[in-house]
Amino acid sequence: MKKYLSIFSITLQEVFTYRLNMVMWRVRQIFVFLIPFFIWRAVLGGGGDIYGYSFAAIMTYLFGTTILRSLVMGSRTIDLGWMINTGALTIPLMRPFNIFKFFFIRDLADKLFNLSFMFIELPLIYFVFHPPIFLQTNAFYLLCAMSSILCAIFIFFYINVIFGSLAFWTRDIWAPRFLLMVIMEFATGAMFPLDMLPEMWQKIMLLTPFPYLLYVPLKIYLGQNISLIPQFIWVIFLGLITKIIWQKGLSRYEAEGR
Amino acid sequence: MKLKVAKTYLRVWLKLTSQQFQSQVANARGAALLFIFGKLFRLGTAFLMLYVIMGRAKLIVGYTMPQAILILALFNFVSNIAQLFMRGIYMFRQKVVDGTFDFYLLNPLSELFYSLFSATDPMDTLLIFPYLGLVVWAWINSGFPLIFSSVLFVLIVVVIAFVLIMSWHIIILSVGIKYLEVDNTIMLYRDLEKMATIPIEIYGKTGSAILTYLFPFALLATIPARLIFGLYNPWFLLGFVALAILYLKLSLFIWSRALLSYSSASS
Amino acid sequence: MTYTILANNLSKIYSVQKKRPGLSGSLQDLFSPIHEQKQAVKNVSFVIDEGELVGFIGPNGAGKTTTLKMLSGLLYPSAGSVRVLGFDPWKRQYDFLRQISLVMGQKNQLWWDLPAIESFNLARDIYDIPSSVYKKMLNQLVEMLDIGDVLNVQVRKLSLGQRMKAELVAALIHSPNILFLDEPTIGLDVLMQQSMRSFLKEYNQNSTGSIVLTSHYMDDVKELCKRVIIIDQGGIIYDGLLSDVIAKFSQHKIIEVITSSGTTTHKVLRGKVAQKAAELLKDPSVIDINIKEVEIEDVIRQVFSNK
Repeated sequence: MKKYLSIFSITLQEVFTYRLNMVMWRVRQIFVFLIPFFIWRAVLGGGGDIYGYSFAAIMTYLFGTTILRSLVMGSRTIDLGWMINTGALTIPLMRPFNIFKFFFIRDLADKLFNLSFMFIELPLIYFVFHPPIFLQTNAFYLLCAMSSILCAIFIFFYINVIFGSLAFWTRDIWAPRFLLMVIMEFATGAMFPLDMLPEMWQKIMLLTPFPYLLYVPLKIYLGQNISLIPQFIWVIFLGLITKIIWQKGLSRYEAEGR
Repeated sequence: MKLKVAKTYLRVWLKLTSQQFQSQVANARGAALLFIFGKLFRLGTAFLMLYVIMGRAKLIVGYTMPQAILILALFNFVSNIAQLFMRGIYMFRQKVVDGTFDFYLLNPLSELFYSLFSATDPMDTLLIFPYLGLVVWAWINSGFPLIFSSVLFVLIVVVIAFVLIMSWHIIILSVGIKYLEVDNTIMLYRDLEKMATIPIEIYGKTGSAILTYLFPFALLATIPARLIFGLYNPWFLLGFVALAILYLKLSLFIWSRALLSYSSASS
Repeated sequence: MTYTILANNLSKIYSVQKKRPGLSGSLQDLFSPIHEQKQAVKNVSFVIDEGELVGFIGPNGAGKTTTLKMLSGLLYPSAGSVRVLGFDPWKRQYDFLRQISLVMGQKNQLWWDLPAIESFNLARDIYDIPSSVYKKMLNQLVEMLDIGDVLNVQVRKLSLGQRMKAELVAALIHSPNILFLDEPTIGLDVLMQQSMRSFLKEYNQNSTGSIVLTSHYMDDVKELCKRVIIIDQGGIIYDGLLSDVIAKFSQHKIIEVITSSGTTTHKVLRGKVAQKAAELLKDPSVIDINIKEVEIEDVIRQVFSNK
């Protein structure tokens, strides 16, 4: 257990070393919130609604996704592809700890880092922009939301490991990564609530794991009756795939060698 | 003498770009296709968002939907041209870390030239045509005529915008040299730039002012659009020319100061 | 006359952040970092003439590479001045850069995925070399380095030795007046090292250009340099002929005694050599004796350990 605590601590130290990097990253997160805010204010600020969302509702949604992003999508496992390509994977692989736990703990450290910054930024955003926020009081929904977020964290983790593992087979990992990022930007519901789209589109999107990262957990938090089952299924399914791909990939890694 | 130097730069750039292409052929071509698909997907989702929003709101800060689409198309075009040429900045950190930047410094041609322009991906140039086509389509669709004077003004704006974008990239490089932090900075720049995807009036009086006079991202889309709609006095462009020159001089100054503290990759 | 390189009291000080250990240390570093001044080069002065082949030697971290980088214009001196070919290298003017070249051991400026010839052609464009001059130079260098058959092979497929040779061609194709080499033989096998040294020697003899190299391999220096500048901890401790180094720093000579049972070595003060030799020869089991200078490596080692 102690070794994982060390890993956690070292990851945080790594992050602190690059101060400018840290600051830039957080400033970017603020912008991620700002642009949609202005758009929605221009469109809905005067009243009315779009596909059932009033200005207040959309602001709640936006606020929610901003917070959830840090929690669910803060990750260092993105480095995995690079680590495989440069052989940097060898060192943690040889250590006496579970490699998945290693990556996961690093992710947790990253999430903690992001969250602590949110405690400064959120009050700031609130004071400047006064977005209406909705505090869920129903214990049941709260519980479901938390489980949902936990599932989302696992799903994102597995997605990262799977995409990072591509590096076992090809040197160029940036292109598929880029494509994934672009798709996720849209499909996770980060740009706008997915139920603004036609029914058919929603159904198709829900067949992919992406909406379960931000859109679904947020909806559950907001009190909508969405089943947790699909998420559980995704967690298990992705977990299995990850294990398989990882094993296959690892055997190739030994073969390439360094 | 100046002309000769300019020709040298052009020749070297052409050669670098063609060699980049050869290098890609030697490696993975699939990657380039994935990139193109990704970029088109991104453009698609931007359009989708526009339709979703504006499907219900007929007017957004005084612009109709077709006008907003033109602004989006213009932004897409200008932003992508800039990214296409100045792709080198995305590899900059790596070049400093592995020592290649030292070779740039000692090469007779400007190290800024290599840092920004040496990584042009020829595959990206293919996308220019559909993007340009999109602008033309959106222009016609907005109901405003494609007359010579409008086209001329738009071209002038694009040139000014390019000089400004280059200046900002040089400033980002300066930060990168000093703090070895480039990737987040350039992405932050892109986030800021993205604000110009939509008419800047959306950001209120203060926001518009900042985006016009301080960081003239408005030049990327809103201002050329206004020129097309006949809502803008072309003489104002002179002011932007001055601003662009000022920014360029400033960025070069910052760059030379940043190099003073350059400590070079260790051997 | 203008010297090729004129360095006057050159110094370089780096500001390095001191990291405190542990997570709390990290947080402290975040909010109130401490910086330390590290002096890499201390008041270094020397003069190099046209056509010279000078070696900067010293242990790792001595400041040789830092000095070289100040001479080539990569680093801005914290103090002092330097003029190379009449220019201030820091200004990196076009006419200055056209006349110099830098080769760094194990670092590559050739296109990785393309044949070496492509990189050479690019250099022709960059340095504006007239076609006939380019062809002549290319043939000459390729012949000297014997890489004619790998010109059209992707650089990534070449062995380290072949890559270094190609690197040299790229560096010399525009006939620079000064060639800077930073640890050029590092990582090469013995044969390759030898091959590179012979080339550099030959090149220096046949051209008017100067060569300045840094190395921590004694063999580089022994083979190539008549003149050495020994640097340790940022300062010059010797600047002169290599042959004089031994005389200046070593008060001893080595007497090697070969007997039927083996060889023993004796370190003897110069004045006492004859006396000791005579003494040793009295032993009937002695087959042969050799009187040698102390190996230059030992001299240098001694010089460094004494500091």
